[in-house]
Amino acid sequence: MFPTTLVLLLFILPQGPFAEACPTSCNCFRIYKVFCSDEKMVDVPKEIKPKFTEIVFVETSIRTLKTGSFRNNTGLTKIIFLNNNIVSLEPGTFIGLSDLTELEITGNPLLSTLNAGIFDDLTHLNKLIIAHNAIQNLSKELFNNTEDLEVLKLQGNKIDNISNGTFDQLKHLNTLSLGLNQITMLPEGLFSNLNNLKILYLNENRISSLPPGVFNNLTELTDLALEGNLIEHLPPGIFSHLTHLQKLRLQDNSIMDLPTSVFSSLLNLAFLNLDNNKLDTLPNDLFHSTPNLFKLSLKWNRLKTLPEGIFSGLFKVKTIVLSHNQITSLPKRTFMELMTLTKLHLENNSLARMDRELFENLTNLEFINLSDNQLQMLPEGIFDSNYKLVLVPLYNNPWNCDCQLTYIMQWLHEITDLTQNSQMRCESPTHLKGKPILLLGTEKLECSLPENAADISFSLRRVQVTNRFLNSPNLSNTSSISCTYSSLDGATFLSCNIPTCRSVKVRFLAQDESETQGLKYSSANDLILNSDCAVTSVNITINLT
Amino acid sequence: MAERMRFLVNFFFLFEVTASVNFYHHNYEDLVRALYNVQNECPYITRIYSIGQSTQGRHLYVLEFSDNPGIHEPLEPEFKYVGNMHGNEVLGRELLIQLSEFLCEAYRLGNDRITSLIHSTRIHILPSMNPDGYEVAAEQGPDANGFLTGRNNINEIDLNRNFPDLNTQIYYYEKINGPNHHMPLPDNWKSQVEAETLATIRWMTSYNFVLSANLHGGAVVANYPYDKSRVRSARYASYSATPDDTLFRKLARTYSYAHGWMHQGWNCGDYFEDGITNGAHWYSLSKGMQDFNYLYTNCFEITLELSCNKFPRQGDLEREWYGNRDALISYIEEVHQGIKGMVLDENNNGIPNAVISVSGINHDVTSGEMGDYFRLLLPGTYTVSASAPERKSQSVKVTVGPAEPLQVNFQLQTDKALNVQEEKTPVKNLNSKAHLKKIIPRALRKNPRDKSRIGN
Repeated sequence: MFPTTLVLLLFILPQGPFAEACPTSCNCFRIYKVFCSDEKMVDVPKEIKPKFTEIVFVETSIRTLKTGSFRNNTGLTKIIFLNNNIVSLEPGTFIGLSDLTELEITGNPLLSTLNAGIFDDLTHLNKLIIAHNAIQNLSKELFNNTEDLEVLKLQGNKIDNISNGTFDQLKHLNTLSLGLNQITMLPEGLFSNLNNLKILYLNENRISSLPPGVFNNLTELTDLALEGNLIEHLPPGIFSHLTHLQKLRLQDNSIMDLPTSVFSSLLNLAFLNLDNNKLDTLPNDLFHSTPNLFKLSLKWNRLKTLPEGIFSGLFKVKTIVLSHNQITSLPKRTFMELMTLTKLHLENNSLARMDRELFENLTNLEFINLSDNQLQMLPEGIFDSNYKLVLVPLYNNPWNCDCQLTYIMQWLHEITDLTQNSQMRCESPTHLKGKPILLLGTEKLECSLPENAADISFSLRRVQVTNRFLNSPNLSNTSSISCTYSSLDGATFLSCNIPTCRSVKVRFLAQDESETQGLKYSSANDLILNSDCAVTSVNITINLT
Repeated sequence: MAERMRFLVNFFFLFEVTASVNFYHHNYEDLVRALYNVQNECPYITRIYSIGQSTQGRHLYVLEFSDNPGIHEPLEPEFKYVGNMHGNEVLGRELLIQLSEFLCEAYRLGNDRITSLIHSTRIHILPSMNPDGYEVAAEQGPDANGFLTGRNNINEIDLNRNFPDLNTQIYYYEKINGPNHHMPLPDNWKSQVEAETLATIRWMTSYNFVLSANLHGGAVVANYPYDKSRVRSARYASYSATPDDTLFRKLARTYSYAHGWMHQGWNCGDYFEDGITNGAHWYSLSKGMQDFNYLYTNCFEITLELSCNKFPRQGDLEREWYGNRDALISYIEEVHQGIKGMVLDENNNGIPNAVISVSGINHDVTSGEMGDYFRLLLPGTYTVSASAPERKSQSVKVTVGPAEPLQVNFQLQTDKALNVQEEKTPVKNLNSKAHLKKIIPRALRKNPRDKSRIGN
């Protein structure tokens, strides 16, 4: 079975079929490719047979690329240097390489300068990668002769300053990467000739401000990366010509505020990342002209609330991330009409109250993260229209384990996998503190008058319980019924334990125009209430003592 | 239940993939450039090393991820992924490139899960074990690619039938209660394997790998050992369980359930319950790499068949990546379970090659060069013992939970009474004298090993 003859052949021809023509200490493949990875190699091979058109150097000991290094190999179309520790390129290194279309010199931590004119011979260069070296300056004339360049990647160097005109000859450029450098400012006209540019990376530099017109001519741009800079303010019209832009990365800056119309021209914007900035408010109309937004991320900012209707008009949005802010409450129409929304991140905020209507009609919502907030309860029915919702992390909230939690507890048991909330614990009342909520029976979720109820008096004057299952008598004297109430955002909640029926919740809007919060209410008519065990008719008066 | 968990994993795995990721087939040059690009983007957590060269001279590059690249930290387990062993089964190669770029990017973005994974694990990624075969297959392209073109290495040898067969021996030892781990190799094994296989075996023995997966294509299933049928004359497939069968099934299921569709079972016209199969139960295969890992090293390896089409079209790569991403990460995390610890001498120096046995599981593992050991185990209560030549063995009863691995240390005292002969010396280092001695009759041994005292 084992073909020993082949093994013998292997010893006879150890270098493979192209061994003879291949430069010493290199390997040659597929007739035209040369790979040199001998760490003893200190120079580019003197002569490479003309049939080889591509050469790759990986971790050799070449320190200097000498004048005319490739003089005898002018047929090369691709030269790649990966992590060779090159220290310098002598003038004229690339003499004669007018057929070269691709050049990469990457991973040389000691290579700090590129002489003006070094690329002048490379008139057909299409792709140039000078990445992860220590280049400090780009001479203004560096790219004067490389007009065919479509891809220019200069990321991971130490470039701190680029003068106007450096890229003016590169009319065909579609990708420009200047990320991971030390650029502090951009001249306004730097990109003015790059009419075909689609991708521009300026990430992880030290840019603190952007000249208002710096992107004005980049009308084809689809992808703009500005993350990891020191930007505090964006000029209002900075993106006003970028109608094709799809991805905009602004995270990890110090942006404190956004001009109202800053995104108003970005009709095609699909991904917007503003994470880790210093935003404390957002203008009302910020997203009114970005109908194609698919994912919006605003985590790690300082938002306290959001303007009502800020997201209206985002007809395609699937993910909104608002976690790690300081949001205490959200207007009830915040997410209205976001029919496509599937994931909503609100974790690590200070949300204490949620409006019952907040998530109404979000029928595609699958995931809401509400963990690490200040929630004590969630209103009954809050998730009733979220038919697809299955994941709702709710842990790390100071849950008040009384009858108001009955709804959410039953909902969790019915709909979700309980493991996601095994760490959801009661904060109050004292005797339940620290108990995992989902292990409690609903009968443990009791409501009673708060201890300091002395200053509040209210009575259920007339309660009628009609129940086809329980033949309970009408309750006319209701003094024994204990109730709790709370007043939230103009609505008053009243929960009562009625002996025959575990819990009845009464909710009504404060009708008092004087805006005294909920503590005064008198209803002339009976309220007809539907609860899970009975139809109840209640007449209520609440007075301050 | 498991499916629900998968749902959870899927949802909590919310990464920000911001960089534009390019999904295309990487030839050798593209592969090398992609790996170096990752290394340059994440220099502090990566290292590239070559484990040798293919028959035609292409390097078998490994990209390592660790908070201390190039260094084995005691108690930090070593993990490996191997792709593209069959040159024409290319999805694994592409996925491992994507995985490398993803790990680097997620780390740089401060993703908690990836950060803690890289801080607690040393991950070695070999995207292509058969770069020569790949080029042959790639020349054909995705559509014209025959079922076998480029599968083998350039000498037309199937590398997954090229490892020394240790199953025959272990199946015999099972019957006579012989050694249950680190089977000795035949003297002439080096001359019987291909360059790629030799390089891989040397790699496998120079790191104390704990867990591994070998990425293939042509089906969609997670395949676990043994691959070689125990029944010698079986013409048909028969289940050949290892002593760690339940653990292996869990490892395989971890992948299949974290995978977008593998767990559904029906794929490529085949059905595998839970998307997993015992190798020999599917079809018997001799001299494969998976069984060799288990029988010659401490490493537990499964074989992942990841796509019906061995050479998927470029347009399918993105979908495949998102289908496999969670699974590739979740599987690495499996290296953190069971027990681990130090085997020390009375001066607190680590004892390498100490044997760790678990009662009820007839497969021992050994400690690494620094005396640390890793024993993957399912939750349960076990009696674990450590032994080393000329030392008193030690046993301890432990209860393993489902989360973090339990740390169980041993301190073995010298036992003068036992002294000379401890036949159990495990073969650890391929080139060590101990290994050679193992297969030389005792009568012929020249000098007993007395100078190689450990820990000095």
